[in-house]
Amino acid sequence: MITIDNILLGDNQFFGVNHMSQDKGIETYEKFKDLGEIKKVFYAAVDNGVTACFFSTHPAIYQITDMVRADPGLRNRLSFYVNVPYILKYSQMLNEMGAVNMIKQVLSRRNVFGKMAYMARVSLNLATGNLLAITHRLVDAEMDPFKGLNIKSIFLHNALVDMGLGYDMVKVLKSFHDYVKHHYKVQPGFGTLNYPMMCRLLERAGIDETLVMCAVNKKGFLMNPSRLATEQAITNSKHTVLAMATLASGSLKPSEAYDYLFSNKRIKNVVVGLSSQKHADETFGLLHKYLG
Amino acid sequence: MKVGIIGFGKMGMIHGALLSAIPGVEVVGIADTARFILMGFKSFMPKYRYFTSYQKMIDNCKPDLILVTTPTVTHVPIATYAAERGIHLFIEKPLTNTVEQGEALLKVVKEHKVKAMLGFCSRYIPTIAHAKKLIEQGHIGKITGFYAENYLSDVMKKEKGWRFNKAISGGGVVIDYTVHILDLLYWFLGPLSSVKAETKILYSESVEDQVNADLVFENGVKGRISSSWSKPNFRKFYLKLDFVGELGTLTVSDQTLDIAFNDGRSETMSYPDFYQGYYIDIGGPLFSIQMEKLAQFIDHNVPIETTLESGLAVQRIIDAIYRSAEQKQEVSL
Repeated sequence: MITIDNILLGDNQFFGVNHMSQDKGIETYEKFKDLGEIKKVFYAAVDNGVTACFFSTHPAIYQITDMVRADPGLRNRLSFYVNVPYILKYSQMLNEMGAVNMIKQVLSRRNVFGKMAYMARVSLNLATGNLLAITHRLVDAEMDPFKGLNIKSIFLHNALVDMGLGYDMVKVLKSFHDYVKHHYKVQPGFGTLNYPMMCRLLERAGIDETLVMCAVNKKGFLMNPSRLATEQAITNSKHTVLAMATLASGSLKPSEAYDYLFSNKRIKNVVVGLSSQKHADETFGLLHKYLG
Repeated sequence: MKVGIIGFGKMGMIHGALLSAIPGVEVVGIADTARFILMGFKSFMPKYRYFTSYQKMIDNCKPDLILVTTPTVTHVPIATYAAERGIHLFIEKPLTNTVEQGEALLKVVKEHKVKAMLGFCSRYIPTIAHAKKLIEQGHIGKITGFYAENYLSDVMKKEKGWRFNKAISGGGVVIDYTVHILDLLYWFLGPLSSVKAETKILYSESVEDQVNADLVFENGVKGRISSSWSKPNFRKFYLKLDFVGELGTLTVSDQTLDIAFNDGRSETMSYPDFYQGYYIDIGGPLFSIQMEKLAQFIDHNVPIETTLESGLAVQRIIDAIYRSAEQKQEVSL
């Protein structure tokens, strides 16, 4: 049994992701350009007993992690679940600027010593044709902004996992899982929009019990191939499920959404988005009621 | 159905993964000029055959269908080579760089009786597909005008890559992004009659970064488009169309669908309301639906609307926009 924090603060709102209204998404994106506003949300969460947050890598991520590192009130109270790497970004970069420019770009924030050590490993991996190891280097590059923070888990981004499902990339899954476990010594996790299919691939990769983040909501939003199939797969699998999109991007009321969510006894962990103090008090008040 | 993928960038990868998840569809060969990418995928996915030459992939793997997901300038030569060998085609948008090339391809496709589908994925966005249905059903009455915009903060400084080389890409934001709203307007309103366009360079050297244009369609509907890949605060692709009808205004984006009726009633729907569960979702339902339609079209002759002819019609609109911007005057089609 894998134990993780019950409630994780998500990051979608900081980057303007809003499936209900693009204008609202842009509005929150504007608001959270101010680091002070992001800090307020962090505090609204920790003051409500939240102990962890879930973060994808993003061009502005260094500013946020620099802020957390500099603030003991957040640094000591929050652990991080990091979602890496957005591989499509790399494939696009590789396509458009070539390998050398891509590596340069990836390295742009590193210090000189860090760059040298990193490049030495990349050169060795390239020379030996070890391309699975190159993906490990990409994970390393994306973990760089989180140095010195309390990392609890590293997730493989659903964009890559779901592509892996199509192509049956058992090797990539297994290699990521083992690298995170042995090198970072933290819990590996996988994001997916296709949970039942993911369970089948994990089984073939020989991973019986791991951490999987997927959408669980009454509307069936982002649940493929269907809500029913996902519910059944959750019941029949041993993986720890981190539920996301529980409010179906704001189209469900929290009480209705959580009644449904926690009627499934296998769900004990959720990632939630927040945009204001009022929203925080309401959401966490309800969640604590269900999660005890 | 055996599928060969030519150009293994972002779109080639996603389409291939989606097709592989459909029963009875098998990816047999992958071609890309970047040996580094192929080596990488060979180590992850050893069951596929990899080639740096598309001709060799086609000749060796003998696919029933190829996906052409390469830089625009190469679409027609690759598609022609395949069509001449009786292989069906899926070609990413935009069709090509010039109208002449598109016409030449259409001739080859007809001569060799192969099927061709264009990658105009925006038509499969659930909110947009539903808007099309509502307008066809006369929900807001006869259309009298429109305003369409799409924005992205993609090019905020001078960028490198083939998309910024006019000889390879055929142009900038118009041919790369605006093409989505141009295709949708063509789908909703039919052929274009005339256009007056203005393009602007903000960061790029040889291609345009933004466009504003006034369009008149053959059915008399007039409207304006505004499109930019250099607009701040649009991390994600933003697309919005307003259709003004006799009974009200319908506003549709990739996330929402709103109708404001003249009598004061209103309707609002959003992306979660349309989400139904798909055989697999990689990057959004639009791509899942698109590949399902492609498989049905090739395997079972179920007709598609994103034909080569529609691609060519959109190509003519792009061409007219560029001519109008260059000549600084209205251009008739």
